[in-house]
Amino acid sequence: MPKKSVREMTKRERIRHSLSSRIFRFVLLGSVLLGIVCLLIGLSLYTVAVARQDISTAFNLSRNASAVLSKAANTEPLSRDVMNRYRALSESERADPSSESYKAHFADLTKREDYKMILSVLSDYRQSSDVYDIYLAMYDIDTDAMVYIADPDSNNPYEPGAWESVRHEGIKKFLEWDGTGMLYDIGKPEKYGWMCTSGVPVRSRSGEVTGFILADVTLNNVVSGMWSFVLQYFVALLLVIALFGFLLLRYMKKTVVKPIDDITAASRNYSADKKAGVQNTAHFTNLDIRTGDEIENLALTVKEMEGNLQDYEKNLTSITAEKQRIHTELTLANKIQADMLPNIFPAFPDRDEFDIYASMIPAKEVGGDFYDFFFIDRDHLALVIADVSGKGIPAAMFMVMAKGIIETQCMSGSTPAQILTEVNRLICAKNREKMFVTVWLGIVDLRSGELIAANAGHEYPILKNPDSNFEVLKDKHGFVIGGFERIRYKDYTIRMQPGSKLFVYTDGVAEATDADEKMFGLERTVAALNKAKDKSPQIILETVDADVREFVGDAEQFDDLTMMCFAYYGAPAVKELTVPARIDRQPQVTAFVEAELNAMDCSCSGRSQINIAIDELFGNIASYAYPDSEGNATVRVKTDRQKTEITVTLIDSGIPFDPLQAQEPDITLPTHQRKVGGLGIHMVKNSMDAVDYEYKDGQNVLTIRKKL
Amino acid sequence: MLNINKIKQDDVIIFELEGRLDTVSAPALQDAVDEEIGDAAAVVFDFKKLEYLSSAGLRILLTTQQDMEETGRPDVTVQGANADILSVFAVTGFDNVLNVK
Repeated sequence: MPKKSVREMTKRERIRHSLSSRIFRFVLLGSVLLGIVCLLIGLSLYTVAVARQDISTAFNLSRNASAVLSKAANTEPLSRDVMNRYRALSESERADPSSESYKAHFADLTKREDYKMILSVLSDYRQSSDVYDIYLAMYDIDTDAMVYIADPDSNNPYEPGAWESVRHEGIKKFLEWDGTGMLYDIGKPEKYGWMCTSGVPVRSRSGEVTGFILADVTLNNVVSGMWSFVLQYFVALLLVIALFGFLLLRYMKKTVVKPIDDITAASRNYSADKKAGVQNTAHFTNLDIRTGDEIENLALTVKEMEGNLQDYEKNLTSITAEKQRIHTELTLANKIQADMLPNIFPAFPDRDEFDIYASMIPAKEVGGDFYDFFFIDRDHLALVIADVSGKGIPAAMFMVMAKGIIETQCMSGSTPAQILTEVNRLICAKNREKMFVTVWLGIVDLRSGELIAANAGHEYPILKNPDSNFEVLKDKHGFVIGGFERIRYKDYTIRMQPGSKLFVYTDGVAEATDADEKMFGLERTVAALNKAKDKSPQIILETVDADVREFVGDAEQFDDLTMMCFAYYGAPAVKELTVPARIDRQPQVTAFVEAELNAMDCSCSGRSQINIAIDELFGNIASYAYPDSEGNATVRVKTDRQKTEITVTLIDSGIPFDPLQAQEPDITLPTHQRKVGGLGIHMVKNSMDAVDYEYKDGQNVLTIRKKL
Repeated sequence: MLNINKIKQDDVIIFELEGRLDTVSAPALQDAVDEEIGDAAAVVFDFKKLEYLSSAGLRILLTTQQDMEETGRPDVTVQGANADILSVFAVTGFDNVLNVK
């Protein structure tokens, strides 16, 4: 298997690893191996057959010769003579059978009649057949030598007594022959090449072996025939393999490679189309593969898959669109809900007797928690925190209703207990779904710091008095709103002192849980509050929020997280003077304002600018506000706690007039065209930090503010 | 409260002012100016001891300057004004109208 993925291969590598070339190589290798095996089998069969033929010729010839010889002559005396002489010789004397001295021991034997007779019979046989040689010899068991007795070889005849070493194992079966089967021995003597010696023993009348009639046949033609057979076989094999390989390759290409390539191309086009966003595709549907095997099955399966995917995609598209729509609506609902709550801070920048901060983080897109705060009148601020049972859209809708009803009822001027009692009655009347809401409602008198509150099943408020810590206030709980119609709630009073802070919250804070299902709890809430107890309400809430987040960690926010903190700083220092609106009263007004400025340790230039402003504005009222009658002017001076800002308000009930709308004087005109009108208010606008006018309840109210 | 001290040096009339020149005190200065300006060759306002002036004071300075201009006499001179008064002149463009020293 290749190590690289097919996608990483070069074109060359791909061709090398392609299915068709692999099949081709496999077929080629298989055919060659098969051919070689066949060759080996064929070759051995051929060799055995041919050799057997030769051996049988030699054997038959030697048997015939033996039969004829036994009738024509008695070989025994000659054999015994030769062998006796051979055995009588010493080892050194018979060392070289080709030497003349050795031959001399046997020379007289060739002249014997029986030798000539035997030689002529053997010679006849030799000439009448294709055997290499046919001869009479005897084996000497002591020296492992074949001793020639009569040899008619025409080219190089052995004389009687000549000997040759032979393999003992080869001759052994000749000695032990029982007369059945063929006797032969195949060897490769150096002189003759491949040679088969076959023969039969010659026995004396007593049955003793006195010699062997042996026929030698050469097997060299068998071997050379073998080589030409191999050559021809190879040529034929190569032709067959080439043809077979070519046909197989074509067949495989048509039935395997091309269909797979088609499926691959279809898949590639399919995924390209999907990437491009094409909805309906028919790449697999258009495939025409009829191989009737696993590949056709594969093609049919992917065809089905394409259809299924198409359906699935259509479903998914519509489901996704639907989800998207719901998500969009919920997001919008979330925004609407968030916008229903006062969420611009600082909420009342012109009121410095208190500070307030609140936050709501719903667990889902919309939630059932809410906080609210609003002025009932100039001096009374209502604080609301509530938690609707349940979550999501139902809770949010119930919350909208509850919030509206509570706000409306607060405007009646009743106490919190009366308000909650009425709210409960109204909600119970419409509450078929049996939902409920816990509410803590407080109304604080910003002049005195007296806070009257009632609790309808909501969490305990946490109160901090000046110079002490936040502590849980175990107030009187009434039943939740929406439960029973005839519930009455009870008021209680908290005396807020300058520096007091009140923290109210929903159960999402104390019941925030971490991954181990542990709850944040009231103790940790109080601890978090006290970490930032001297900070502004905003910082306090951010501290609690950060602690809750850190505690919860990665666990999902389960409940809405809503908090509100109200800090009371005390009623502002306000002084008021009402005088007849006449020029001669101007020194009195100036002195009244200046007394406040003295208390503030005001700088000279700020003092001059405020004096000028009072002169201009009171002068205007005295001169123009009451053209036909007498009237009063009220001057209200307010300083902030830090004594860094003074606010002076001049109020008259004269004809409505907004001096801020007067045309700006052109201060670049030449002297003779200059007018003084408008210069006064121009100076005031330039020297004050803020100048506001409103006409309210039949009064001109002009306010100037200056930071000192 | 405004104290007005008139000093005549030859034809030049000098008004030394002390206190505050506002709506209440302006009429007194107006009377003094009206009384003296007739044959004065030049008018000088000495503001060394003046705390501040409002638009009522500016009105007097402007009408005086316009009178002087009409009769071809030199510009009204203001001397010794404190920083607050100078900034009032700057805001109202009076530093271009008067001869501020």
